[in-house]
Amino acid sequence: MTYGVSLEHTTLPKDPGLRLDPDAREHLVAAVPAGPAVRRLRAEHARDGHGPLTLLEGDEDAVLAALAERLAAAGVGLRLYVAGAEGFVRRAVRVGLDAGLVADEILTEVDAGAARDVWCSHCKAITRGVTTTVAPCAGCGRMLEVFHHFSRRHAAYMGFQVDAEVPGEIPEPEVRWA
Amino acid sequence: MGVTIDVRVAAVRELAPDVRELTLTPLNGTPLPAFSPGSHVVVHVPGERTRRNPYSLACAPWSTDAYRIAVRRLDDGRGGSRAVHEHVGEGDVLAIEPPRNLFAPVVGARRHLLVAGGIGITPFVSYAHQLVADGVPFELHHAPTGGPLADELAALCPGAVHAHAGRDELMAAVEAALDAQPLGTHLSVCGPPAMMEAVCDAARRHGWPGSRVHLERFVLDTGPMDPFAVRLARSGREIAVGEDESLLEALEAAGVDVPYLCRQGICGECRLGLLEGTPDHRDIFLTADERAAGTAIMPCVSRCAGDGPLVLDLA
Repeated sequence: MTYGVSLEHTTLPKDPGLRLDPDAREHLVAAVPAGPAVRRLRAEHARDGHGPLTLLEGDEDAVLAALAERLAAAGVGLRLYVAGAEGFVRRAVRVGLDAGLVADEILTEVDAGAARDVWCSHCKAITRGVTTTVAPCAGCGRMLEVFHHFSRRHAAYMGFQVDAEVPGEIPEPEVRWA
Repeated sequence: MGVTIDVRVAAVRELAPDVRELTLTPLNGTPLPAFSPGSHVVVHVPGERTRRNPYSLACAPWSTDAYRIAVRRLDDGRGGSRAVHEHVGEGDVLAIEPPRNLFAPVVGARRHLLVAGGIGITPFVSYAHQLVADGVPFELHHAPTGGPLADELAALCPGAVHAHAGRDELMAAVEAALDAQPLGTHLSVCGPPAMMEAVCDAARRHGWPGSRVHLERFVLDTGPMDPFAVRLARSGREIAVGEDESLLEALEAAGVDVPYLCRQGICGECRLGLLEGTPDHRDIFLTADERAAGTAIMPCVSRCAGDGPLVLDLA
């Protein structure tokens, strides 16, 4: 695939990795599952951190619900650390931004699968767990090309009908985000 | 030089022994431009040499029938503020440049923590009017107590304006406030450099990232104003910069058009290519690397280390 602009300069999500921000006075970790990245973060916190560190664990939806609840009562000074599958990480970031965090206060690491959530620009449904460059929409069944355009509001990449111009001409899906 | 608007000094009021407020009204009844909170205007202050000094607009953003500015007399400045105090009176006509803004409130902020020291309260007058109108919660801490602007703000938004006697009281209140802000709050600070630095430092200690902290700088360390020479590389012209003018002013006086905005070393608009010579950088725009490279200079504030010449990439 060719891109018009350098991906270095796009607003596609970047994941700096879970590194402790020693300036923070409260650390909230949402990780599904809590793997090596979280263990590393805890070790850094024990060494350099001040303020409490709280780990939210469980299944993805439960963690996102708990995260929204915690953030509603939180104050400036908190850092959110998110690790897990790509789709979960993006949804957790959206919960954080919705709660009033700024991008600098959210640190992310995708360490449990790169499958994407894709928003269908035709029926508006979001298809979760897409691993291929072309995939069927879970809402309307159209074959969607997964485009390099990410919506923070939807926490999903944009997909559009791949054979809109030449019906039936569907390229071979390529596994890219396993 | 760009567009200017002629305004009449409709009223002069002493806000404090060293602070004078000017009310500026349009000459011909044409409304003045509305502006965004935190905006300033550049006033062409008449005198032996015209100074172009930026002043925050201390009125509601929709105040199109009259602007207000507050000018603090700086006796060690370059004379612009002194000229306002000594030579500008009611009925005079002044040229101003249209409002522009290097200190707009963050769009989408859910709450604002505002901190002002001294004359630094001026940009928060327009903030307060806008935030009250929009129903966006805020709290303003300022020092010292008293003064007509502070009284006006306290009346406009009772409960949100907190006056403190001095710097220590202000900082204690700011430290407490920094620990008690819900997510979505942004901090904006205007005041003397040492006070702004103290607030920034406190914010960092309380876990505020830089992207939540916004500063309006209105006093930069000027340093000595020794004369020096510049040469325009492409035409070979030599221009002398006197001890009472900036490089930008000297270029303007010589008819060289240089784009500018803030004239305070902040915005970066007037950046010029530097081909030879050792600059004395006084701006806060260039990065450390750019300073070290010595290939660019901000002529609004920066000067020459030594007699020069500085060789500029200009015709």
